[in-house]
This record gives sequence, C-alpha cells and structure tokens, in this order.
Amino acid sequence: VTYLLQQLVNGLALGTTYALIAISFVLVFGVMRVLNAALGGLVVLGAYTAWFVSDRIGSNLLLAMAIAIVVVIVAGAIIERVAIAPVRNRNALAPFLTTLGASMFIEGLLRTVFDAQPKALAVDFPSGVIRVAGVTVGLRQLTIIGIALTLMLGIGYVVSRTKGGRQLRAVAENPEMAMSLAVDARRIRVIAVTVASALAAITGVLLGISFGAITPTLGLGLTLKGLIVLIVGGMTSFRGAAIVGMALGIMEVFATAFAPSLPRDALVYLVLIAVLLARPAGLFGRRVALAQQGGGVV
Amino acid sequence: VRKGYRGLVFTVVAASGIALTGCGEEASSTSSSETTDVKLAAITAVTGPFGAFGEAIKQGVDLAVKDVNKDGGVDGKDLVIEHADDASNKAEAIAQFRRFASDDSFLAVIGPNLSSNALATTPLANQFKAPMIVTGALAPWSVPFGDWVFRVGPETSTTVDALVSQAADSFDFDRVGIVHASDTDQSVASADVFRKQAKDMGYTVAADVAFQTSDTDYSAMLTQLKEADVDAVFASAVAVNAGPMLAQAKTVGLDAQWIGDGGFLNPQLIELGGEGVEGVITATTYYPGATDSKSAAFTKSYVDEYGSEPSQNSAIGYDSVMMIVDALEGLDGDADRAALRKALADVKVDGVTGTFSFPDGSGDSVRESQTLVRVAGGTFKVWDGKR
Repeated sequence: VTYLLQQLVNGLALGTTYALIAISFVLVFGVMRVLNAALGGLVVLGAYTAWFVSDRIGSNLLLAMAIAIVVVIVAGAIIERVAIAPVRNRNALAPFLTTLGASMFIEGLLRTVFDAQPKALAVDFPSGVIRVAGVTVGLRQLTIIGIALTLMLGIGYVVSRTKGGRQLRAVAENPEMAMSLAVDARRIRVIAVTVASALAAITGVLLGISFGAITPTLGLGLTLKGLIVLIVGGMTSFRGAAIVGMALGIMEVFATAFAPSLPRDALVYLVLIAVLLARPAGLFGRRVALAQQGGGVV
Repeated sequence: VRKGYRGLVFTVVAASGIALTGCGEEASSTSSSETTDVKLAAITAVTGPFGAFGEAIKQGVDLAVKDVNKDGGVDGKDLVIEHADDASNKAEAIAQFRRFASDDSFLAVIGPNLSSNALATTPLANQFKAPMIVTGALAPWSVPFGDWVFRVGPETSTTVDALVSQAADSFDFDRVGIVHASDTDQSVASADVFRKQAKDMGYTVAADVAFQTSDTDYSAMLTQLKEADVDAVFASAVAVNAGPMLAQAKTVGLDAQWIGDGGFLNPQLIELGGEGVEGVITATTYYPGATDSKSAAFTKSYVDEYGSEPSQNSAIGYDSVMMIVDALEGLDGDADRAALRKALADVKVDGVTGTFSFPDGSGDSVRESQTLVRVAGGTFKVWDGKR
C-alpha cells in the first residue's frame, strides 16, 4: 500500500501538470471554439524563460515565474492576433493548423537562440523527502501538486461562482445571446486567452522543475497530451480536464510501475479510446453543445 | 512494339551518354584531388534524437583534421573531410555510406556513430572494399567486422566489466537494480552484461527496469528501485537521460550507489544532474581532467575551438582521424584503399583515448586499460577505488 501511495504521488505530480495544460485548452476552446495548438509551445517558452532568468539573473522561483508569465502572456497575445484571429471564422481546422505552426515556430526559435541540448532548470524550490506513516514522498512533488491543485480550485471557483465566470460561461454557450445581454464577449476572450497563457507559463516552470531538464521539443508532446485530455474530458468541461488530466498521469505512472513489460503508451491510449467509445462526447461533455459547435473540429 | 523498342534504344543511348559524362567528371575530380588532397568521409547523426553524440563526434573529427593540417597535413597533402548527416536514420546511413564507398576518391569512411546504423553499413564496407572506422557505436557486433572495418570505441561489455569488478572490490553490494533504455541496441546489450556480471558477483537483481530515450519523467521507475531497496543501481543510459534521472532520484528519496556505463561520461551529466550525480562512478577511455600530454593537449585544443570541455565521444572522433593519419604516414604518399586497409590492421595508436591496436586481424580495438572516474565536487575525477 505504501508503494501504491508513492506511485500515486508520482502520478499526481505528472497528472496535475497535464490537467493544467488541458484547462488552458478548455479556456480557449470554451470561449473561442478554437483548438490552440500553440499552448504546448507556450508551456516550453515559459520553462525556457524561467531557465534563462535563473541562469542569468538569479534562482528566485517567484521572479523566474513572474517573468515567464509576462513573456508567455505577450507571446500568447501575439499568437492570438497573428495566428488565430485572421482565420478563426474560415473553418474549424484552420486555427488549429496556424497555432500548430506557431508552436513549431517557438520550438525553432528556442533551438536557434539557444540550442537543442537539454537545459537544467535550477530555481529555489523545496527538495528532500518527508516520511508519513511509512510513505516516503518528495517535497518537490508535493509542492508541485499543491500549486497545481490550488490553481485548479481557484479557476473552478472563479468560473462557477463569480460574475466574470458566469459571463465566461455565457460567452462559451452562446456568444450572440451573451452580447445581447451586454456581456463584452471580446473582453471575455482576451481574459480567457491571457489566463490560458499564464497557466501555460506556470505549467512550464513546474514541468521544468519536475523533469529537471527541458528541451525545445517538449511542446508537441504536451500539446498532444493536452488535446487528448480535452477531448476525453468533454471539450468544454473544466472538471473533465482536471480529472482526466490527473487520471492520465496516474495511468502512465501505474503502467510503468505495474506493467513494465507492456508498451505504456499503447496501454494508456487503449483505455482512453474505450472511454470515448462508451461516451463519444467525453466523460464530462454535453452531446448537444459538442454537436452544435465543436463537433466539426473533432 | 517497334515504336516502344525505338524508344527504349533512345533511352539507353541517352542514359549511357549521361553516365559517360558523369564518369568523365568523376575521373577528373579524382585525379585533381589525388595530387592535392587526402580525402575522407564521415557519417554522423547530428540531427535526430541522438544528435548530441553525432555532434560531439563530428567536432572531434573536425578538430583532428584541423590539427593535422596545421602540422603540415599528410605527407604534405591537405587532409579534407566531407561530412554527411544520417539523421539517426538507418536507411539514410546506408544511402550515405553507399555514396562514399562507391567513390574511390574517399580513402576511408568514418562510419555512422549509432550502433544500429554502423552495423548496417559493416557488410557494405567489406563488399565495396572501403575502409570504415567505427566511432561511438559500442554495442556488441552481431555481424563479422570483416577485413575492412575497425572500431575505435571500447565495446560496452569491456567498460561494464571494468566497472563492476572494480566496484565489487570497494563496496559490499547485496541487492542491485538495473536500468536501461529499451529502445537502443547499445543499452540493451549493456544491460545484458550488467545482468551477467551481477550474477557472477552473487548479487540479487532486486529490480530490473527500463525507460525510453524520449522519456522525461522517471519517477515511477525510480520509486520501483527505491521500493526494491537496492544498494546499487547499474545503469546504461546516455547523459541527457541519466542527468535528469539522477536529479529525480533524489526527489523520490532513492539513495543508492549509481554505476553508469560509457554514456554517463559527458559533462552534460553534471550540468543536468546537479547534486544528484555526486558520487556516481563510470569508466572511460578519456576524461577532460586527464593529465597525460596527449589528452591534455587535445582538451586544450578542443576548449579553444568550441568553448566547452570535450566528451569521450569527441575524443573517439579525434582518434578515428588520427588512426587513419598514422596508417597513411607509413605509406609514403602512395595510398589507395587496399594499402590503407593493410596499414590500419598493423597500426598501434597512442591516442587521446589511450593506446589501442587491432591484433591478429581483430576489427575491434584492444585496449590496455580504461580509467574509472567518479563525480566529486561537480567534476569527473579519477576514482582510486575508495568508497
């Protein structure tokens, strides 16, 4: 049982970061009906910014994270202007491809400015282990899980309980109706994109700390994981993204821990495909909304 | 039918015309290069998942060429090298090798640096009768080296043998864990040697785990090792995996003596692993702190050129060129591929990776010794066998 708990912590540390990426996807998809494939690239940009700050200025976590958030928000806004806005109303796939291009551009840029070699992200962060009732848990992992869960709960609270959150949901459900009720849909979109970028930056820093090393090529895999969680979680559901993201991380870790001889990814994706076959709209998706708006995208 | 036949004749004539022109050009370029340059080819994987190694070997090769030419070249002729990138891809490695091997103006080919790719081109080297030097591909060779293939780098098992037997003298291991990358030939082979060694030493292999080179999160595997309560971890991994892996080992509370194969010996291990790699033991033919005059001169020359310390791979790339130059210098400028092959078989190299030769028709280098090193205070230091 203690072994199980230790692996559960490993899974949660990985899974909460997947969940954060997926929540960024949900934010953008919810209000814009756009799959922003640049988010994986933005995560890596956040990690690289933090690495650059810690390498050149100092290893203060908050400083590195703050600068990463600013850089990624600016990059996210530029991508929104250049790669999303011009093609958003053409067809559902166009923004997916343009943002995928933007993600590759970020990867190429990082590779050119720095190089393809992995970088160690060394910022001040709790380390060492604690033992509780026979279970040894890394403080680093606990802190990552704590930060990620706090962010998730915070976003959940804002979306479900505050006026801004209600407006966001209104825009997500029916933009015309929301506007006729004097909700500034444009403003809501800007806020959603900004928050998604900030989340991507924080996720990048957490991933960098958790993995110990970052490379420019991490982005594409993260985009893919985020999209899978988004789809299985039900496209517009924050709760779906959070739960499926954590489940994906736990499944990956458990597959390695308990079935090491089997191909891990094949096993994990088989489970996810089974979920989709049973519930085509995703675990927390509503069939109607999906068919109306996002169906064409998936 | 007649029309088709005429068309065929035309095609054949046109094709042979092109072929003849092609030959003519090739012949003239060969004759001009014979009088001025000594031409070599090198295939490395500088792009693809293992680009870092290919790049390290290529840098070593380029530095050797530069040093040779600075010292007056080979018998007064300039040494020229043409590089090709196989992109870590076997089909590409074969295509590039065929291109170089079928062009006699290249005296020798410094072969692909990935084991699976170099294995694939080994029969071709013998078929084309083109000398091929194997650099960083360290897996056991599953095909005969033949007369035309010479490997500079030490085979994985020799490194692992040296490591485990020395460590056994110094530590009382009981339970050991084995870690390898399931997607590289070399690592799979290295893990086999570790398993055999552990058995010979009477250790219990309490955990035998694998990762993939593209992995970034090793926590599940490391927790398994911790749960198995191992005293030591025998790991076959390259530095880009091993560095972060050992950093993560600290965060899951795994406390064991790590012993790594040749892939560990790279400054990147320390950059990426930080405090997590303190105390790690590995073996090498070259390390940046080596003080013998050859190694020290190479290290200085490399740092001047590239601004960072060389890895064992760069040293192997360097010695690959120097070995060809050694062989050529015995030939008094009268070199063709057959003469070079003969000279290579007799060469005894005193290089930056130590002394090695190819006795009794062996294609695999035989080395006198390998140095064991340990990470201490953030650098590799020669290990004296103390705990």
